[in-house]
Amino acid sequence: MPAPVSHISLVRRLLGHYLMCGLGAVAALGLGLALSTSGVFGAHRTHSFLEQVEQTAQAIAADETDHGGEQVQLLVEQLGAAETVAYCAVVSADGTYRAHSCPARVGQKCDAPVPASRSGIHRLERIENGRHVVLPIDEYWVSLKAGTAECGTLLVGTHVARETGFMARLADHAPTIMLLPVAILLLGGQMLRCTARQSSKIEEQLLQLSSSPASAATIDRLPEINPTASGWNRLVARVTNQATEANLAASLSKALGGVREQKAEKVLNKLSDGIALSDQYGRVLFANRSFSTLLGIAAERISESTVFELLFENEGASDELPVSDEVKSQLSQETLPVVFELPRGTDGVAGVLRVARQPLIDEGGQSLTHIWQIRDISQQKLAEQARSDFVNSAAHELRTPLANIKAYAETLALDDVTDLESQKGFLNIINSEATRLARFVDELLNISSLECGSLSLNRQQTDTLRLLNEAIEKVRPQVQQKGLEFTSVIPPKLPELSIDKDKVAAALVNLLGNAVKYTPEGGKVSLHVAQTPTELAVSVEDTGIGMSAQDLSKICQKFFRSEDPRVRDIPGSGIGLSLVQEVARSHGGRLEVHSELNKGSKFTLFIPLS
Amino acid sequence: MSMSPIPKSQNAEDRTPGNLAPGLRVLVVEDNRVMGDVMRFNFDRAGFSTAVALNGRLAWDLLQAETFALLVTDLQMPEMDGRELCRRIRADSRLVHLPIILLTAKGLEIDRDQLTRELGLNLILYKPFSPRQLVAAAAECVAGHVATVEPAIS
Repeated sequence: MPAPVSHISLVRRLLGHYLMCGLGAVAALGLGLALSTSGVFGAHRTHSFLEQVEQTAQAIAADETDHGGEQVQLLVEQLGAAETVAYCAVVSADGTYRAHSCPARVGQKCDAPVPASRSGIHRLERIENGRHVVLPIDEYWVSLKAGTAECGTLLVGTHVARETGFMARLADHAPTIMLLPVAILLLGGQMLRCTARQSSKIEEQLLQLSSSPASAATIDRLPEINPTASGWNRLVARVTNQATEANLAASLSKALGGVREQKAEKVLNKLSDGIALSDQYGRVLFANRSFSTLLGIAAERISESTVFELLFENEGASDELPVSDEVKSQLSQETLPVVFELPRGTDGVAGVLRVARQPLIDEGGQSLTHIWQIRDISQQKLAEQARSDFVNSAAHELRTPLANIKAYAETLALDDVTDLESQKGFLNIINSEATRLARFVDELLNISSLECGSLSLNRQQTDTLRLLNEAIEKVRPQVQQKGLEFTSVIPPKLPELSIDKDKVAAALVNLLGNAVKYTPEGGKVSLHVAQTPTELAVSVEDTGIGMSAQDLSKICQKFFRSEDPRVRDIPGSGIGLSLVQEVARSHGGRLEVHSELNKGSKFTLFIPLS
Repeated sequence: MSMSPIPKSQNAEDRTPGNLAPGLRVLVVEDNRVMGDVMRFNFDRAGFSTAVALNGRLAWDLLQAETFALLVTDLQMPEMDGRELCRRIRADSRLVHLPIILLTAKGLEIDRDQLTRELGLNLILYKPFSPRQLVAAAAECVAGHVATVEPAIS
């Protein structure tokens, strides 16, 4: 709340002080000047008056001597007529007035004793009514000499002008008056100093502020002698508060920064990849949780070691790093990014880590740090292996019938196979091998459609009945070729399902195809569809070779194929059932398998209605 | 020594069947019956006396009981595969010099030189193969024209 101040501006104040003191000094000087002038004039007047007195005295003395004093009364009266003369008389040696400006008093006794020194100026002092008074009259006494003999005293009383009296009294204080301008100047200086001192202090602090960092400068309060000081103090208080607030804000943001850092660390710790930062000597500056987990090292030990020690620790005594020479040379060049695979045996399970090193050079190019990223690519490696296995297996399965076709065709081409029965036999074999080859290609395509985009489902409303019938039609040729008995029990009305049509169809064809494949000629394959309130159950049952309990547990593993020679004789990739299971799972359903060796198998695919 | 899968000899088709390797015993190990049959047909035609075993274990039993001039084996078979069979043969002092021709449906996925050394093979043929070339190569092997590789196994 601002104080109600009616304030004269600093400039006006200083100007006022200056003018006041200056004028005061000038006035004092003027007074002094007036005094001295009046003194000079007074002295001049006195001098000419005294000359007149002297002339009168000489005239009286001359008259006394020459004419026996007949002109004395006249001379006295002439002198007494002068303006400043109050009275004038000649006192004879016996103390009577021989002449007087007031003729009545001639002959009277002089009321005042003749002073010892018969000449000079005397201030008249009387006792009146018991009071000592000084009359405003100066009395001049001049000895009259006629020849050598003294013949009386001329007495002249002059008025002392009132002003002259004041001036005279003032003149008594002349030294003081002379000091007055000095005093006024000093006073003015003091006032100016007082006014300027605060401004100077404020300026000083502002200068200090300007020359030092804001945080280091301290601002002092001023003694509150005027509104300027209190205003300054209020400003100081506000600035100080702001500084405190700034400090608070700084500490808050620091704390928040800490929180942010903690968050970043949390995020890093949640990553499945191992992240570490090392200095130019390889010492670990930071490592997230996964880094130690992936390397199988206690987190506490990380900070004491170098990255190389950690990475290659398990290799133990042998100095040979399990990496190629190329990687080694890359690792030795610190400014190069390096990516390599590091085989690792953790808990007896072989794993592979992908290690990437990225150099981090600061702007100065001085300190070199490295970001290390390690990722467990064991699964990826397994998948790669599985893929490669699949390709090899598929190639093998394709070459086997091809080899037969080629062998029989070439043999048939020889001139000496003339026997018609043999020729027919050979051609039948070529035909069946070609069929087998075609079937395997179909299966590959089926698998490919199952596998393609296996992670995403393209759900759409699907006519279930039509889907089932289409699947049946796909396997019907093989059923007929093998002479199998095929039955299907499908409810006449089935709900539409929101499913990935292609994938479910491929799964059904796969199940039916398997049933046909592994059921010897003359066997039975049946499709049974049932609807429960929540799901649709599609069962494919056969009277085929069946499976042992041991094989049953593995059939849904990718690339698993039974060692049973009856299975081995039939081309297959070992991937179909794993994909059927994947289709069931991705639709929120499941695959159930019942099988008995040499009796047959029953696969049931459950798909939720919604 | 030439390890080409295709023998240089192109004479097989010119020769009269039956006089290429009169009476020499050849053991064919092949789990695919159809393939075994056509190989038997071709070897018999060339004058070999052919026995077919459906897997490595049966072949091993036959090798113990009888004497053969040549072994032609598949690689991938149930019970005992071609690899194991070859190892056993090369570890057996009586059979160590038996010429072996390996037939395989695997292609680039096997390391041909490494496998040849490891199993002491005389020849590797890839399926699909030409029966004529197989018979010609077999004749060369039994004639000693294709040297037996000393097995590198310990």
